[in-house]
Amino acid sequence: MKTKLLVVLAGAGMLLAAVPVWAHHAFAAEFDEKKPLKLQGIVTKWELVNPHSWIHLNVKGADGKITPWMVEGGSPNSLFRNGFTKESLPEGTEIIVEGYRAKDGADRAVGANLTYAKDGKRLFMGGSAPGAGGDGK
Amino acid sequence: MTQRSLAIGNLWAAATVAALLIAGPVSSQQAKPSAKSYTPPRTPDGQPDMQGIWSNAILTPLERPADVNGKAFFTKEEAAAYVKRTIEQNNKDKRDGSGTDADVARAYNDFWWDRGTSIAKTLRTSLIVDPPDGRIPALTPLAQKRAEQVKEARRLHPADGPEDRPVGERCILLNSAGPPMMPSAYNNNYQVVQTPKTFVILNEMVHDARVIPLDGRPHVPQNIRLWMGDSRGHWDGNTLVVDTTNFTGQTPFRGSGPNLHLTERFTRMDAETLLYEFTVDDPESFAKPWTAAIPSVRTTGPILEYACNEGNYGMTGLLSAARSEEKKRSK
Repeated sequence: MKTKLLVVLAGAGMLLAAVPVWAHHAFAAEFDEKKPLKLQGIVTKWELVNPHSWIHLNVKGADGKITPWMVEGGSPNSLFRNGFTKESLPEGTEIIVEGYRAKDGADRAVGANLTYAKDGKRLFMGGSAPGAGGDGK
Repeated sequence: MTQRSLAIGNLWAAATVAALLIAGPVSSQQAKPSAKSYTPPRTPDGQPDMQGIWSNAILTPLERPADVNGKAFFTKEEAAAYVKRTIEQNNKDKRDGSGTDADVARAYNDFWWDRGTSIAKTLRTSLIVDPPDGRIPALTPLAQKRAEQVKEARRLHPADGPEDRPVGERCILLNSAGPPMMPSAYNNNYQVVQTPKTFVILNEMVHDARVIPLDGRPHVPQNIRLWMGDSRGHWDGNTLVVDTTNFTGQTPFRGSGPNLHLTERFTRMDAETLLYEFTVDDPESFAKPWTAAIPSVRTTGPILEYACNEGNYGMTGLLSAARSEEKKRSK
């Protein structure tokens, strides 16, 4: 299976005036806005824990070396309420993560956009679970 | 205080009248159910029964937005436009602005979030019902100074250790759990369990349970300070009134201080609605008291565990980030 690690340079994105909604912690204290990244890899574990869930995935670099990454997601509670379970993201699923790398340089990131590698659809969207509402656009 | 309590109790009815007056012709579904016309079911020991799981996910803002020109109520059309705009603004699936703090803060696809999809049926433009301008009264000089001190401490010591971080990040208490309870971006659910002598609120956010005695015991002495304050409840007709004092001052609510006296009122409006009102009385911090009203809606359970400390990798992550930043600066 083709896997790759892409570190994407930040484009000249539009600055947003939107006030970030405070979640459990200040993302910018932990993750670096100057290190946006795009990872493609195979899910090895999904820790459905609070306050944040963590997706573990193996990412194959250009040199063929496999690096385990941890990607932070939100609280699993809303997902459960919408009918998703631990089986909704089984081991072996290939996903693409766009996000930001940890400031300390560890192989840890916050997952801003999570999609299935096979069809580019967002995770947990468009499924059969009640409450899944299309592609969210 | 008694007069204020009575005033709060009447706000719902007053709001209905006001809505009729201000919004002109109002269809019947906009008019609020009156607590007076609803007889709540009773617990076996005879209390109004508020047990069950309630959601306070709502898009009505706490304070009246500046762009509604002082109107206390939206028209139906304005309400629809506001809801549409708010949902669009909150949409986390927007990925423009890559490489900015704003985009990092917008982390996670929208599917992780649960803010609700509507505003109050009253079409109020703010959760604040008093003062009439729908805005939090001015902070006193003391409260402003306090806020500046916190800001300065955070600037000088952003993350030397966990104690420098907000209590929410430390998993001690998330601000939406309160008291007062506030709508948040997710986990907007709480369960009420009643016994003859206690009223228990289990809040999904951080899995906190407030066990509120109803037996008339006095508050704990002033020198004892508690994260969620010290709550005492009593029945005023079909309304549960909860008085909370003895806060620590480390969980400021919109600028409140340790001597905040919070009064919450719970009233069943109909089979599906539990009205939650709270009054912030803190002369040290605000120019005058203020009151907000949030209609909670019955929802299905169960309340899910939050167990914040157990999975709080974020704390080590952000302390590690701070050490890394320090190293960079020292080079």
